[in-house]
Amino acid sequence: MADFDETLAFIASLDDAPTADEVCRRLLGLSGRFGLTGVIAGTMPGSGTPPSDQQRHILLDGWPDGWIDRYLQRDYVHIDPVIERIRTDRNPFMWDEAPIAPTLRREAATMNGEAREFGLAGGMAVPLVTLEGKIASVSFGGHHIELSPDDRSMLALVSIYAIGRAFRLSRPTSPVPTCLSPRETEAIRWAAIGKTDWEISMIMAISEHTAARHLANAKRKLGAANRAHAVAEAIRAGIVR
Amino acid sequence: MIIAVSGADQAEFPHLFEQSSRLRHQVFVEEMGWEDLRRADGREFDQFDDEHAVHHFCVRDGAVVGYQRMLPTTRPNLLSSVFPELCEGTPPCSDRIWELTRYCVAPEHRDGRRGVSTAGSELIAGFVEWGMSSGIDNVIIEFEPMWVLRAMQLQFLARPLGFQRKIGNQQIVATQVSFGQRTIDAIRAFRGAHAPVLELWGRLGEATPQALAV
Repeated sequence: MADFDETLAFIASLDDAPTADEVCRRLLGLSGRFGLTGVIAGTMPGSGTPPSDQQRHILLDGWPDGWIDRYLQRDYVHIDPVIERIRTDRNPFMWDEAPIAPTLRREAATMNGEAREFGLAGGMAVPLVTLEGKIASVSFGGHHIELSPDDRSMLALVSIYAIGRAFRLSRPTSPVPTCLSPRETEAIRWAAIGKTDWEISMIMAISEHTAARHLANAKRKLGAANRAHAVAEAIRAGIVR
Repeated sequence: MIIAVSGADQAEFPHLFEQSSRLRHQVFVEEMGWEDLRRADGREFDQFDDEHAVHHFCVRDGAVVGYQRMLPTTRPNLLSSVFPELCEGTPPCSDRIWELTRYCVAPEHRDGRRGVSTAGSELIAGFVEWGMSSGIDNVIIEFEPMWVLRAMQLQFLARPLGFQRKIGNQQIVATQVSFGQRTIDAIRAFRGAHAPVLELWGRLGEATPQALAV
């Protein structure tokens, strides 16, 4: 039987987690006891959302290395029976309780096989609906899962507090705009019109290595996966017009 | 507009109470299947609808389209008397903590699709304004767990009072939420409407005539 005082202490500890990564780390510390070694949480992208935008919906990223990239790249969000059930159910469920559409049986089997290779043989999903009516969820996965019904309830409850905390951290009360240094801003503006690292280094009269570092910093600050994504984010943020 | 009326003034405002008892029956009995509350006349009320309750009516063009009921935790309430299994420790008991029950919005006013409707968020603004003008800064609510996320989005500080359990056909978790200026600011920002929504009628208004400068 899950201990309530311990659950309460865990929820209180989330309040001073300074970053989403720390929320994620603490949540995995708890779920790991039940063999749930991975977690992902976020809002559901609408169908037809390109993979680059799907990434933006992720609030807690604690999947095994490489799995999220594979998942987005192969567009599994449109095959995954867990996603389909999250859209229609209001209660937590185990992954193997999500029915597979007959037309997607083969693709789903391929996806499940790959997930297993990443250590995600099974899991539990917690569907949620935000204030604005957006579908959100927290999903735990692992290789060897031992989870009693009481453990499920406890974990579902704390996971709601965890995604709530992540929401707060992702939208601070006074929004902090992405802050690039003047050099990083200049470098990303040149990258946006197709200049290579070498060309940027010539224009800015710096070494090629330094130009690459400015761009790498800009990429990290913008939360971008690669150069093109960084440029797109910089445009969205109004840094590049 | 949210009109707050003391249960002691029920006889003064028969139309509000008549309409809200029908709305409560429609939502909690017909829709949610709380069969023990079913009554042949289609009006729902229970042992807590006494002079100590405070009723909040969301009114549009003279019709009650949303409703919630506040009960003092210093007296028997739903959590302490009806659902004690939802509470792990001693149920809260304080002048500053009230219990929110029977929160509902008429089906034709659920414009929020899956999210919170205009009437629904007005009720939330209403109880926070009411609390802040009455020396109350915490409410306990028995609701579906996903409301915890919504409460946190609106800058409430939430704490569970126990684990969730199945009641009727829903999972329900008893939760205490505390609120303050940050909360009302967040609710108003979400609503895109910054004017106070609450009016105190009857003896509530006489006790604190200008208390709405929240």
